[in-house]
Parts: sequence; structure tokens; C-alpha cells
Amino acid sequence: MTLLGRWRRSGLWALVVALGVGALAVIAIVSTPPGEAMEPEGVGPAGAAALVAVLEQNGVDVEPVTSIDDAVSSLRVRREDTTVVVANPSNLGTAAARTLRRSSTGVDRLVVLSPSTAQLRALGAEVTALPIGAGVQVDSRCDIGPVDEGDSLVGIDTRYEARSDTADEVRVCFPLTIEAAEGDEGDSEAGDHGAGLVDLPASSDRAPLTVVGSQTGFANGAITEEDNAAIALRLLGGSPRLVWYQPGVADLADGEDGGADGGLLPAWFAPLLALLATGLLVLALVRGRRLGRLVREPLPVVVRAIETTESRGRLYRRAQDRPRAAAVLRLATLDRLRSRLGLRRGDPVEVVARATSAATGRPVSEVLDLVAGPHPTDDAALVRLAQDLTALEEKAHRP
Amino acid sequence: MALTARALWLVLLGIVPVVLRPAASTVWLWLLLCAVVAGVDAWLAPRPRALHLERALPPSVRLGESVRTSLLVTNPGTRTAVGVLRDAWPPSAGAELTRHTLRLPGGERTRLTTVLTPTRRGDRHADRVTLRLRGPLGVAARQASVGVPGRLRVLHAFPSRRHIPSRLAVLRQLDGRAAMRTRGQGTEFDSLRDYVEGDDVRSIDWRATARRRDLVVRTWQPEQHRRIIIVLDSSRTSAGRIGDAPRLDSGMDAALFLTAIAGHARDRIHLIAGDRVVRAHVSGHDRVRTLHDAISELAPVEAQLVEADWRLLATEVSRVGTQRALVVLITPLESSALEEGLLPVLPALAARHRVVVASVSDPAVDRLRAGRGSATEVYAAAAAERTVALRGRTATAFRSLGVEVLDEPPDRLPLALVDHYLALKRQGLL
Repeated sequence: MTLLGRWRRSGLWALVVALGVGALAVIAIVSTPPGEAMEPEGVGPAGAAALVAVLEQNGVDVEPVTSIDDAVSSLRVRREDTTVVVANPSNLGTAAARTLRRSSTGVDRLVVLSPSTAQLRALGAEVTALPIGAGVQVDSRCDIGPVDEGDSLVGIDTRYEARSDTADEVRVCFPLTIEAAEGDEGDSEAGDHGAGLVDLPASSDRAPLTVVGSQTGFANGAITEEDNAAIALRLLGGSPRLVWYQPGVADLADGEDGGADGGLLPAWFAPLLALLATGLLVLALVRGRRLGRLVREPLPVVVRAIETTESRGRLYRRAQDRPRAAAVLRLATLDRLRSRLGLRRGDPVEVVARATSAATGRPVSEVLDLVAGPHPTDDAALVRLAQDLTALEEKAHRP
Repeated sequence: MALTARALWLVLLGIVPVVLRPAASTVWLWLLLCAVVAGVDAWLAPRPRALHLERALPPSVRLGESVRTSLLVTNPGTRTAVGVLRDAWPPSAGAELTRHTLRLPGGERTRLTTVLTPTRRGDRHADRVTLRLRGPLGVAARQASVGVPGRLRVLHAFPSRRHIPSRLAVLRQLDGRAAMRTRGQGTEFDSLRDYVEGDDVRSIDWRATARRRDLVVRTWQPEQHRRIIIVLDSSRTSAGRIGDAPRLDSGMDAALFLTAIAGHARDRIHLIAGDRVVRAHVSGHDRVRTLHDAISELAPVEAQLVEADWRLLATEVSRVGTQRALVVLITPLESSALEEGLLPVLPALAARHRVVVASVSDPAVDRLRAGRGSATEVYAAAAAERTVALRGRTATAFRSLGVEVLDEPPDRLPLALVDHYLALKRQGLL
């Protein structure tokens, strides 16, 4: 392949790569990053910027925190007239949940959206979470502080069942009930199937806890539907200060669970490991000690003698120097013909051509064209010329 | 100090106490014990430098043959020396087994032999001898390297020596026939003998024939005691490799062959090898001695990456003497190098002596010339033709100065050169 062709080809590849990178960049710029659900600054369908904005318009001071330490320190400042919301508890570890429960005693209300059973247990609520798998619309059928009778909430994705022995203290809203169809008594599906909202009163070691089984319902995408906005504002806007706790990945760690592994291993394990490691070191020392130094080999300079000729050939090819290559080949053929046909070294081309014609029987013009004609215009013509010259020589040698 | 495999097993034996008393302190104490044991063992080991080492080595070996070098190890102490001895040689010395196990009771001596099969011409120097002597427990050892100098000269393989008998036969024929083209100076009367069919009629001695009444021819000995000066170019162009050997080695082969034959013909040889400096200069009357010296002196000569200083080499030639001589220049016909270096000094040399330029040609060039298959091959063929044309131009320039040029592939050059010499001798042109 020629140099130009190689450039063209590598240029094509560069163009393809550049186009690919450009397309990726455009996609990255145009599409907003997915972000976490219920981010206070999130403007996407899953964010909660709309809710935060409306809350702030209503005079609520929203304080976003992203780690349990920040949450604790901001609650240490003031607990009165404060509501705490965990809008996206997916990163809320049990340790963080326990800490939150301890440090949030005394706040007006703790609101958690769609927590799991383990998180609820850590928060001190004996409530079981049962994910529905889809957002449904449910009527309130209750009248507690933030929720009025007749409110309707869209996007309930988790139902909660409180333990029966504590049920009298617990108020539930948005019950998911399936009414028994007439004449269909004894159907196991009918009856109470938990609720979308569970409100637990304050206890000695916990603030009043409201668990709402909906996360998407208060996000930007669904906040305008039905009475979602009103319920959200009443739940979260009850106090002049709102600590919006968005747990980070670090809060997932269960600090209290570690440290128990040591008991599984026998006592001699660690010392044995150390001994074996030392054995490895000794092995390295044993095998690594050289029996005397390496011996130097003084090497003479040796180059392939044909190298220069081959390089010259590559140079001709790289430069596409067909006139020169053809001229060299023709001169060599003429030299050999002269010596073969008994001519002198200095004899002109015409004399050689006539003698060759006489020896081979080919017309003079044809021979002359071969040994002194125009230069070949492409590589194929050059190869043809070289082959014709060889054939002519062979003919002259063995007429 | 060196540790042995036993040290590793000693450390691993610590598994027992560690399992019995699993604590970090057990590990530390055990390792401390190991360190103490190894230290004491190494301290108790015999001192390697106390042993006497003596090397026995033949001075030279021809390339391709094997030679045995031995170390005589003497233990002057009272304790037994147990351990390993390494007789280190460069890789191209082709040492077969350099590590020897040693068990030498006090006051005794032993001979350790290493077989060397060198792979390259030149001088090979023995590196250090390393001794590792174990302590009584065999956990640790003392180690020391001592220099026991030794040099092995690897001689040129001289492959064309197999042609010597055939060319000596030609030389003997010359001796008897002596049908000289020129008479007078430079020919030496030998004897008269009966004419046999085939003798040159011009060599009939009519006076003796008249006396004997039978045809008698006069015979001459071929010329003797002529000077032959061989100049071997060891510059960059000789570094080129043809087949397996550099051009220099092929040229050396030719030079040695000519030295051997000319020695038998009782001619005086001067062999000069050099580039910017003279690397070797061999001369002498005694033919066996001269050939031996030539082979030995040329062994360490390698091609250097410098341009040859032909003025210097020509000066070296003229220092040999003013008597007319046969000057053989063994150098590759590289036009660019020779036209600038050799051509200016050649006329003066050719005026005083008979000069022959012997060049090693590359058969690969001829193979390249024949390529007609593709454009790449044709370009390469054109390049090869160009190389041939340039060499031809240089050869023509030399011939116009009355210099004979021999351009032959490596295996043919020694024969071509000696045959040329014999032809000159036959014609009495020396």
C-alpha cells in the first residue's frame, strides 16, 4: 500500500473515532444525568425541586443534608419546630437509621418515604413493609393532621402492616382494601391489606413517625396529580424548619456489624500466616542469591551485508521512482547484451538493438522500444518491462 | 553469606511451636532462633578465600572444536570444604557445565574440569570463580568470588584448509615443469632433464641436446622468495554479514589460505590487518611459524565501525620494503568507501607493486537481481542491479590502474585468490 493510501486510511479511522467521541459527548450533554430520586435540587421527573421550591415559598426553611453526621449535627443545633424527612431511604443503613432515631427525639415529626421493614425496625417501628410493585391511587379514608378525609394520593408503591398489638396507637391512612364481592364470601383476597400511610405517635425514644409508602408520588413528575401536593405540603410544611436528609452511600455501612469475624478463625491462623510469609521471604533469599556475578559478553558489530541493497529497493518503491528503476534495469540488460553479443562497452543503444534483433529475430523497433522506450507509468508496467527484458536476454542467450 | 534450602525448612519447622503456642511472640522467637542458627553456621563455614585455585588451560582452540579447562582446587585447612564452585565464562565460550559440587577434605586437592566449545572467534577471558562453602549444619554458607585469570584464544575455523592438498599438488607440478614465458631475471635455473612429449619446445636446451644427442630441456624452479603482502581491511564495510559469517571472516579465510600456499612456495608473507590502526602485522621466513602466527594474531581482530585509513595501510605496505611484491588487498568493493579511501592511494601502490583487490561478494544480491514476481521484487531487483553496477564501476576504475579485481562469493574467494596467485607464479609474473 502506498504512503498516501495509508494516510487516507488512517485518516478515515481518525474520522470514525472522532465522530464516535463527538456523538457520545452530545448524548452526555443533552441527556440530564439520572441523579438520585427525590434529590432536593433534582429538576428531573424523579427529583424533588418543585416540592422544595413550594415549601420555601410557604416560609419553610429547607436544610438539605447528605450524611448522617450532617443530619445529627444539624439536629443538635435545634430540634424544636423541626420536621425531618428521609425522602429516599435506599442508602439508609440500619446503623444510620438507629442514629437518626436517637438524635431525632424531640422533633415535630419524622417522615420517611417508602422505607423497608429493616429500616423501620431500626427506626423503632414494628411495621412490616410490603412492596406493591406499581404505583396505585388510593383514597385516604382517615382524618389525621396532615391528611384529610377524601384526599386521594397517586403513586403508592408500598403498603405497611402494623403489628396488631400496637395497632391501637397507630393511625393508618390510605388503606388498601379489596371489598368482598357479593356472593363471593370466604374469598381470601378480600379484606385488609395494609395501608399506604402509617402514623406512629411519639414514644420515649422516638419522635412521631410518619411512614408514607410512596416515593414517586412527591417527585416532580407526579406532585401535581390529585391531592399529592397538598398532602406533601401538610406533611413536610408543618414546622418552620425542614431537615431534608438524603442519605449518601457512606450511610449504608453497618458499623456495628463488623469485628465479629475473628472468632471464626483458629488462634494459630495469624501467627502461621506470618511464619509462612517469612518462609516466602527466605525462599526468595535462598533462590535469589546469585552464585557469582553475571558475565558480560562483548559482541562484535555484525550487519547483514544485503541490508543496504534492500534499503535502496525500499527507497525506490517508497518514492515510486519507476523511471530510475527502469533505467537501471535497462542499463544492466544492455551491459549483458553487449558482452553476450561481442560488442564493446561503449557501443550505442542502436548498435546493440540491431545486434539483438539479429540474434533473436525480433524487429529492431520492438527491441529498441524495450531497451530505450518511454518509462513505465505504473508498477504493473514496470513489472511487465522487467519480465520482457529478462525474456529478451534469455532469447539472446539461447536463440 | 548465603542461605541454603535447609534454612527454608528450618523456618517452616516453626509451624510446630506456632500451633502449640499460637502467639505473635512465638513467631518472633522462632525467627530469632533461625537467624542465630544461620549466623553461627555461616560463621563456622570454611573461608572460601583460603582455598588455593589454579587454572590449567590450553592457549588456543580452533572454532568449532572443544577444549577442557580445569581448576586445581587445594584445601590447605583442616576442615572439609563442602559446597558449590562456579567457573564463570562468557556465553560465547560455550561452557558446558560451570557449576561443580565440591567436597574437599582438609589438606587435599581436586581437579574440576569444564568443557568449552566456543561459538565465536576471538579471545575469551575467564570470569571470576565463585565458591559457596556450607557451614557444618548446612543452613547457611560463606560465598566469595575470586579472579583466576585465564584466556582462551579461539582461532579462525579456516575452512578452506581442506583445499590445501589440491593446491599443493598444483604447486609441485609447477616446480617440475617450469615452462617460463619470460627468461632472464626472476627465473632460476634448476636442472636439465630428458624431453618428454608435451614440454614446451622453446625450453629445449640445444647445446645440451647436441652434447647428449638426445632432446634435453632446461627446467627452472619457479620464482622463490618473492614478497606477498596481504592487507586485510577490518573497517566498517567488513562487518557486513553474508550468510552466517561476516565478510571479515571470509577475507581472513582467503588470507590464511594464501599464506599457507605461498609459504609452501617459499615466498615471504607479510600479513597486515587494520582499519584506522594496524590491528595485526605478521611476517616471517619460516612457513609453519608464519601460518601459526597469522592464525593466532588474526583471531582477536574484529570489524570496527570506522572508515579504513588506506593512506596508513599503504604506508604500512611500503614500510615492508621497496622490492616489487604482490600486494593483495582484501576489502569489500563498496564504491563509496573505496573511491574516497583506496582510489587516491592506489596508483602509487600499483606503480610499485602488482596489486590484486579481493572482494567478498554477496550471493544474496544475485538472488535479489532475479526477482520479477511483483513490483516490490522488481524495485529490489533494480536496487540490486544498481549495487552491481556500482561495484562494476569501481572494479573498472581499479582495472584501469592495472589492478586485478577478484569479486567472488565467500566460499569461492579463497580458491579464486590462490588460483590467481598460482597463475601469476606459473607465468613468472611475481
